[in-house]
Amino acid sequence: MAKAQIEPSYFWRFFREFILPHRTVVSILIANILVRVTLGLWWPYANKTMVDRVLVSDHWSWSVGVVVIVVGACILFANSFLVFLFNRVLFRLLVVVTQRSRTVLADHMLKLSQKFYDGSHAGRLLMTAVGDPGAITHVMTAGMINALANALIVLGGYVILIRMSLPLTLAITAVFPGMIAAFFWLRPKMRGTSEKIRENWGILCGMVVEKVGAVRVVRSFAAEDYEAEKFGKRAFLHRDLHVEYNRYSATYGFINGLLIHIGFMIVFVYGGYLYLRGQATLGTIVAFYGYFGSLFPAVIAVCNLPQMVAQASGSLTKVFRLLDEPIEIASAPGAPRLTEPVREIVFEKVSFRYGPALPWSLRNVSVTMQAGRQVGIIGPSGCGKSTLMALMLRYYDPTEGRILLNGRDLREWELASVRRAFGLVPQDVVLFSGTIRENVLYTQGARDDAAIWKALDDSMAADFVREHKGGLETVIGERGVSLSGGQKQRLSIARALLTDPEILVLDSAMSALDGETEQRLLATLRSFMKGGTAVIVSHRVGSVASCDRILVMDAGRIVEEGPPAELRDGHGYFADIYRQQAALSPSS
Amino acid sequence: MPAAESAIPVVPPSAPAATAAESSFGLRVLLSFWPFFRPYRRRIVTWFFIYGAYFACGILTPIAVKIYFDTVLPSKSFPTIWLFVACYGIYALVYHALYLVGIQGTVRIIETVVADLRLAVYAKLHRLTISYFDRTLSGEIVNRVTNDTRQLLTLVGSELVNVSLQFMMGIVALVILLTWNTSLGVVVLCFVPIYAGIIKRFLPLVHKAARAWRRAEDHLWGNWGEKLKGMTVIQAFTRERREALTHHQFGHVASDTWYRMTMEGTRMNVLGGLTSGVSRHAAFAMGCLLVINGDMKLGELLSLSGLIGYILAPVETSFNLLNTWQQSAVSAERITTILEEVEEARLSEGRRHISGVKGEVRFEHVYFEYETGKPVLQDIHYGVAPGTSVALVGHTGCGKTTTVNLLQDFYRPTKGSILIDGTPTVDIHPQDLRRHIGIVPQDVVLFSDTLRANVAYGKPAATEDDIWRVLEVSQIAGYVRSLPKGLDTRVGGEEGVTPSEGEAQRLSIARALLIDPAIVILDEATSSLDSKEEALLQVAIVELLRKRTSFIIAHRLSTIRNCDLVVVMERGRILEMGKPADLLANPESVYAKLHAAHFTAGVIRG
Repeated sequence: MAKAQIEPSYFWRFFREFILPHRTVVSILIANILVRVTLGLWWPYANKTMVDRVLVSDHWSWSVGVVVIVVGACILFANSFLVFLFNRVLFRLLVVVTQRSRTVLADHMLKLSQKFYDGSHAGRLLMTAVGDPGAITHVMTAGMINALANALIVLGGYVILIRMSLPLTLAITAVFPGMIAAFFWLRPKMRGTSEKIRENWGILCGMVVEKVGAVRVVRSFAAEDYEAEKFGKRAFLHRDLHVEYNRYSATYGFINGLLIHIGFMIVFVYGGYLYLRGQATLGTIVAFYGYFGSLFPAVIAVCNLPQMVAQASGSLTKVFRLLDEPIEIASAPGAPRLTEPVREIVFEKVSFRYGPALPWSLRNVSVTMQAGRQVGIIGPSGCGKSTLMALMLRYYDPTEGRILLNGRDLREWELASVRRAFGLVPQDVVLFSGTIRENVLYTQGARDDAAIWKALDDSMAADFVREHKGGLETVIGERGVSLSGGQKQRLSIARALLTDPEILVLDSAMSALDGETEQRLLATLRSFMKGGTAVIVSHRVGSVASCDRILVMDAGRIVEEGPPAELRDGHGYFADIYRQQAALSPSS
Repeated sequence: MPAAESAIPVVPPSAPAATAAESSFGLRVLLSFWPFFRPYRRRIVTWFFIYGAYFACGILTPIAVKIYFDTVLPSKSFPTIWLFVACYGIYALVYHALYLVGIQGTVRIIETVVADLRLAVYAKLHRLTISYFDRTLSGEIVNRVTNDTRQLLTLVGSELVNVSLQFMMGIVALVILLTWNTSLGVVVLCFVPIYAGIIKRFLPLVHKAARAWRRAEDHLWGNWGEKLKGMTVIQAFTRERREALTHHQFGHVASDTWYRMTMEGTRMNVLGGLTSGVSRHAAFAMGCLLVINGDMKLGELLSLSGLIGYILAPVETSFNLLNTWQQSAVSAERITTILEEVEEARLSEGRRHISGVKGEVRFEHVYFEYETGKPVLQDIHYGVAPGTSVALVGHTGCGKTTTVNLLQDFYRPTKGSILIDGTPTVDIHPQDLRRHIGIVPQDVVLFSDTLRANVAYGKPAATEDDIWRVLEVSQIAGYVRSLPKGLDTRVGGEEGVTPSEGEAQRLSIARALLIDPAIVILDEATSSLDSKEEALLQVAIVELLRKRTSFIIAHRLSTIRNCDLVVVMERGRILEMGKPADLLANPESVYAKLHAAHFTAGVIRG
């Protein structure tokens, strides 16, 4: 299944970049294994010697018996110590390699453009960034090394057993094809079913999440029984899948268990036959009986390697695809930092679409925004107003045309310095789990409380922050206090204000506030921004009414432009919505 | 709130679980789940015996070894060997067949009980009062249905069965050993406390480290998941470097705790393995002496290792069981809190079933508070005739949403009553009541299912014609027809569609229309749509409201103007009400002032 996408080069790359630097450690681990496998070969010999030369011998000697027991005891202790050392070194290596690959991935992801994130599934991306490095490292270190150890155990075991009795060795080998066949017959089925189980589990959990979240809708439509019936079907499907999985795994266990016993039976019959004919000693039979049991799991473990590798290759492909994702938005080499104040931003015939097959989101937009003026952008959902902001902050580069900042193409300025000039209040408020202080101080390491409170005052957030016992230290997010949409938006504004931005960008930033609050907030912001530059994006007339200039957008174009009063008195779209879109209580 | 509801103890959900689990060891709460096993008790006994027989058979393997070396081989007769192996073959077949049959039967029962239990918890959820969902985090509820049910059954299902069987077999093995040679048996027995001591010392450390690791892993995933969604903000605020560092630190903690956990495990396994190795070796050495002295037979010596395995096995698993037991007791408590929660139906006992509703609604001095002393609605008093459209107007938190929640009987008025066709809502069976109320919420919820299932949500038995009729009326039939799979198109997910805002709203209207309600609740969306979408939506809304009593949480002036009655609310009280035109005509009215204020606030001077 995953075989189609195996890229051997990825294995090599991972090996070269992440494991090769630790080659000394890997050599130590392999040396450890060699010693342990060799020591392990002592046991069949010890059994045989003990039986043949001490227990059933007519002229047995104390010395042989004592040597076997003492050496055995020493090997027991030595082996335990070596296992301990091995795990210590191996797990350290595992941790270091995982951590490094995770960090490399995270560094890269932070530089990827918005375009990349638009086209990616967040859950899967998280899996690749956090889960896959560990999975790969496990296979590439522990998996490989243990497979090597098992291969050596099988190899060494065979050498010893052949030396004791070639015919008996050949005879017990007969069970291995059956075992391998069972492995390759049933393992894919088990994998397939466990895949189905995981999928169904996802659906089941999703169902509960969805319906618990929308419990009022369920009740409104009196759909309780309907929901229970649907859930019941899933729950019992889950049962059936578990039973199915168990059928395969039990069959697999049945076959393997039976084969081990068949192996014993071969030893009993054929070994007994050889013993009666004087071709094998009693000790040989004992050694075979004892060692066959440990050979079996080793062979299974070696068989497991291809599957492990196939799984890792899936992860490897995802990890390296992510690492190879080009960084589309980056500073040009040697691009100057923006240290001068922003004088103007000019959009020159800018067109943009999110993908080559997608419709244009902006068409031939030309507009100039000057410092010290406040621009309002208004239009219905999907008209391109947020896209315009995204281009201004260089989340995307224009598909056609260009944007000039102080006369120089935006792409020719150092990226971070451009973004620092803006104070963005995004449409979808993003606050991170943590204290209010951590959230509003997102950019600054430390600011005195007075500055923070001033920003909270300016964004009208101070009151509800004060209401919480923890004040600035109140923890918000999943594990903390949950805030209303309007409160989040006000914190988001405070965060932007604290960066002392040259240009404040409010991208539908007050949609969750009612009209009155919004007006009061706009008034405080105006006094804060005195002489500053602001871009206010909204679908509400009230939000942009006091701007110096208004751009009206529709279907990716600027359809009207001018001072508010002029537009209001015209006969265009703005005048229309000004009259129509009067909202009494635009609260949520 | 009525007495029955206020009697529900409002306690943090996880707190009582921990204490109860510790005090009585959770036995009582675990036993309270017996009713779920009861229907299967005969089968459980049967399978326990089959599975037990499988375990018991296992001990014959070392005994067979003894027979082979002590009786069969010394006979030096080839037919005896054949006879022995034939018997051994039959034994092996029976032994593994018991496994095959036993484990499948056991798994089937356990998984059936899990499914039963899950369904019971889930169905129960849908019968609880809405206030339960207000005071419980949704993540916790989800966990109870999914993970807690699994955790509970892991204990009963596998651990308990395995440990009890292993204990039995350990005792049998010990008895066999003691009968062979008492002193050897005693020597082996001496290793049991050492082995137990090691496990007892390290297992809690492993579990503690495992918890720390899982926490660290949660933080690592949680942090990065959050940051992935907030990449815009990170880049806008140029915080890439610090976020990389934070992620690195979280990763470091996760790595570190994982390492600590695995090393504690290594210590336990190495020392435990060494102990069992040494015990076998010592028994072997002693056995050799006994064999030389003729006090023991060779075959007995060779089967020692197998028997010792049986003796030590229950030690480790029983310590594991202790840990699982605690977790399962906590899970059991959590499930019990849901199962014992008061059902809406119990509060509605003796309520009337109704079949038809005309749509007359009367609020009679309605008061409501979620928390005592914090009134949300005060003296709401008005009535409307069937077919009246009511616009509820006011700021966030003024009580509009609470009004419609009470109307749907999600909560009961603290004082006063709401009458529908003259019958108080608290006397009508809630499901019957809700079947006659259609709702179009502000944030449209479409479930990840087919469009058909979504539209027919309130009436799964609706015919194809019915569905298409409401789709036509809601102005969304064209959209559905344009999809290749039509009504069978899924919403959301990989191959599903994501309707636009306007489309979702019209689908939501179609869903409400399908149940042909006498009363409609419309919570108008605040966002604006482009003119084409807006026009379609308005047509659909007109159809929705036609001839129905409607309560509209209105945001658009045009909507309010078309209503029969405007109710202006503030802080839970009605400020004023009347026909929109009348109110506007009176310059002293709050409505008129609000109206004017809006225009001055958003006014364009100049």
